[in-house]
Amino acid sequence: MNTVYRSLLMALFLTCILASPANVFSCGPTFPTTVFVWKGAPDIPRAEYIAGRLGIVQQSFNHADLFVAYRYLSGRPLSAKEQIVLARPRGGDEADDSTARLKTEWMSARQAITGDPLADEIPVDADFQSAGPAGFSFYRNINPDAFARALRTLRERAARFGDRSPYVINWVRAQDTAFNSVRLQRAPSPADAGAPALVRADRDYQIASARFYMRDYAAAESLFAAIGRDEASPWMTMSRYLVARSMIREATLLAPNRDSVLLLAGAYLKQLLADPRMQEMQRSAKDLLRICRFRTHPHETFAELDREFSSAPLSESIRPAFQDYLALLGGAAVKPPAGCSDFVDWLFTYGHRADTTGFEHAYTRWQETKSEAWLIATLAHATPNGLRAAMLRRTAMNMPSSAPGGLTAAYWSVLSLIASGQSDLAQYLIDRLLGDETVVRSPSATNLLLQARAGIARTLNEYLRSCCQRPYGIESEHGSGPEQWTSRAALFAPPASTLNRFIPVATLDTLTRSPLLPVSLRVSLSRAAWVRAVLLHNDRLALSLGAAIGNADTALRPFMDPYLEAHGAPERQFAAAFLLLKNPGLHPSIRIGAERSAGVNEIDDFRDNWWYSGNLAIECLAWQAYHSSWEEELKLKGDSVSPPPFLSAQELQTAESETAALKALPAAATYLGRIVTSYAGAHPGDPRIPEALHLVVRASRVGCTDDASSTFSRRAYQILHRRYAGSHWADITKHWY
Amino acid sequence: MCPLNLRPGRTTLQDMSFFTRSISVLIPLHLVFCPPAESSSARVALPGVVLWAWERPEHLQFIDPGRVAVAYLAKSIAVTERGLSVRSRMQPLGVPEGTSLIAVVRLSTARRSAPSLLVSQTGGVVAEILGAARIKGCRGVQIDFDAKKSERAFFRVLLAELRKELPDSLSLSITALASWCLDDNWIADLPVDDAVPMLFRLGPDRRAILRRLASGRDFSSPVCRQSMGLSLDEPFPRFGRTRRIYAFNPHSWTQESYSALMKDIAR
Repeated sequence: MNTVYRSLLMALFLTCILASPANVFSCGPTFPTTVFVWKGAPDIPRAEYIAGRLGIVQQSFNHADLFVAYRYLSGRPLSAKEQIVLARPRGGDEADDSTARLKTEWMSARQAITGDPLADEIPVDADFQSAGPAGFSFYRNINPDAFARALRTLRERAARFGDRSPYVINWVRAQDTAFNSVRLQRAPSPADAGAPALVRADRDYQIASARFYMRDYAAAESLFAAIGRDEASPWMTMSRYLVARSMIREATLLAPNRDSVLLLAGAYLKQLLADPRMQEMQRSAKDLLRICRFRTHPHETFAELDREFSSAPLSESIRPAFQDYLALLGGAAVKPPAGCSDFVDWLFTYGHRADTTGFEHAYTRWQETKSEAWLIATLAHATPNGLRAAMLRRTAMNMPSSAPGGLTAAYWSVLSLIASGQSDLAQYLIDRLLGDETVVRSPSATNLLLQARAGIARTLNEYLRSCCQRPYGIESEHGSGPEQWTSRAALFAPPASTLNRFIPVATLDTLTRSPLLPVSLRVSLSRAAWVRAVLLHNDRLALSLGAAIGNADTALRPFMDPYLEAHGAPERQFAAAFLLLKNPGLHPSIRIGAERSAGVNEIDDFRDNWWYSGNLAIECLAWQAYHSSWEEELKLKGDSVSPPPFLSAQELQTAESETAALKALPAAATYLGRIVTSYAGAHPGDPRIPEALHLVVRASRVGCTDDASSTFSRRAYQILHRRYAGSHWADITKHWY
Repeated sequence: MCPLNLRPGRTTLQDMSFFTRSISVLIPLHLVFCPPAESSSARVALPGVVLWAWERPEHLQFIDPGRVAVAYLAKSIAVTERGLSVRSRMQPLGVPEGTSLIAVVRLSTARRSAPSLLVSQTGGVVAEILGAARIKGCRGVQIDFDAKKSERAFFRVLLAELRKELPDSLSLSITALASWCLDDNWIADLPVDDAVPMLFRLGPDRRAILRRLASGRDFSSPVCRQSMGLSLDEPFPRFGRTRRIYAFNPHSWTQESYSALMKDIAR
């Protein structure tokens, strides 16, 4: 019995020892990124941008938005009708939204008739594995117009036969089968021979549609063709059109000789377009024909569309063609095709061209056209010190601010002035633009100007006036866009790095009272400065900052009093460690962009808690820290930030030694664990000790660690369970991690 | 806590018989606390290498389907306050006949989503995932979801529902943050066949994690010990070479990158 007992004890002991891995974790992979300047598209409300209030037109905008800009910049503003066409969401987004909406409507409508919900999701998207090397294709099998047509037909048949009519219920069941036919691999059964002609015609159409959805395109083509010959069928014209759809779908998915099938489909569509009975299908047939040509003759199609859109007004009817045009434009080579329109030439010159010939070409085109579009392209490529650059800047600065390209031209002039060493003039121009109420500004445009001004600041105060910005929004897995939490001002990357690397903590302290900074940023700055002062053993400053935080920072106020009231250095150091352990959001650095999503006293799920050693002691964790070449990136990042010119040699030297001291610190879990375990040994009666020991174990679990962290974490665990066994904190610290 | 390596620590030679007896007690204890991952004989064993094929045209006709499977991003589902936003794959995927496929579904949630809101949408998410698993050649489903602590209950419910609905022949796996497989081991009892620890983009703790694993101290969670996820743009760790490797390529796969991967694995 004794042996068994001893064996059991030994086994449990071994379990404890062996089941204690080091305190290492991975850190989360996805973080929302604060966006100060949105580069892909305008951040002005879309309707305003389309109405010609362009803000700063960036070279990186997508082609559709550059098209809008070009129209205004070249003196051909969009008409009210064209603005409506362009204001609609584009391509895939619109298709996804309308498909989801119409599918939901259809499901409700059919359930209202049958009384039962669908057992399976309708397979809107499908996949197909071809026998050849193409492999799997994934495609949208049921377009939104199919749901719209089903809804319309259901309403009409219910009105004609009645909601409870077996004809209507059977029609719905057949439609369910048709929509699900790719999965079922069967079509609905034919209608009874004795059923009304309309019911039989409907069923024939549903059977043909099912064949289409289940990729039996030959059968679908033949069945649609048969319906198309039936003058009495309400589906006659639609079915004739769907013959072409079947051919094209077959060509893109199945046919090894794609182009020849598309050519056949094209010839068939031309016949349809010539048929007066197909009047209602003209627009759809034209779109299909263009799709055929898009595939078989891309260059010619692009040239045709380019000619069309350089002169013809945009309308709803040619919107699909416009989208094809943009798609072809996106796939074009970097060099504009010969004989292209002025828009395409400008787009490639302004948006893509990086070589030295860009300036000469743009300058020539500006001389020829005198359009704002080419002036901006010329400024973007101008060498700053050339005579022509000075002349271009003068022209730009004389443009009225209300001109569509006024702000963009002014922005390029600012950059050119800075590059030519005329910072005073650049600053004057920026201040004038920022103070001009008539200038159309967006968060991105304002931030671009502020970033330019921060780069030429001559004093710390000038710098502060520029480095604090209101972000445009966030970029995350869900896309990009403004969010409520980004409405607070934040620091963009260079100023945050400058404050973290080149400003001594004593100067940071003065900034915490600067009226040039918004209150929210001063709170963040105070917290970082206090942590810095504590870590650098600058007690005088830490106490003064602590007192200020105790007065103003409601989140930290309850924790600060014990620190301020501590007697002697060891107790104060412990009180600071205790405060830090309870507030994982505290860090010796100022954060780039928005605050971490968890509150200052909350644990972040992806280990954005306290500080790490090395560079991350002076830079907060951010999405960049999870980059594959993380270490290299941080190394580069450190080198790429230069000290601003307004700091004295003395300030830079002090900051350098402080930065070196912070970098040499161990990770927070080790630093805090060492203080707490040491203090616990000397002050076993302090009532805060059990909780502090628990928090040390937690810190090694949820914060980034170094090689020594596990030592202090284990020590804390052992002290807690040996000396404070039975306490609440020992009870909830069940394992040493 | 279930380490693989049983180091004798301070046990002396004289204690050896005592140590042996202890082990005989320890092993049953180990089995109690670390049950093997749920699996079914109906599920086909996957090859030792799996290529992740993300949402871009991937033409993988050059792979050997006897040695390599493909886990392709089939769907991205965002669970938002307004409901589910689903994006199906729209890029082609070329694989040789007979290739084992795993349909990967990427899940994401809006910032600060209410946990109850997530749970209420479980049914819809399960239906969407089942739809993704219907592709020919599909051997399993993999869920890629960086669940926050507040979302773990939802993830647990989702996986339980999904396991119930999935055909028994299909495996169910998840990608796992390395921390889930180490000390924040909340996944041990999830109804999954495999949790693939993502051993890339590890951030500041990269060196510490790899050093720990290289020293022979394995993942705490047994469900994490079958596979590991690596990326072509990071050095391959020198351990666990007998495990199934899920390889991520930040670019489209080519014959060259595939050959380089297979060579690296063979080394």
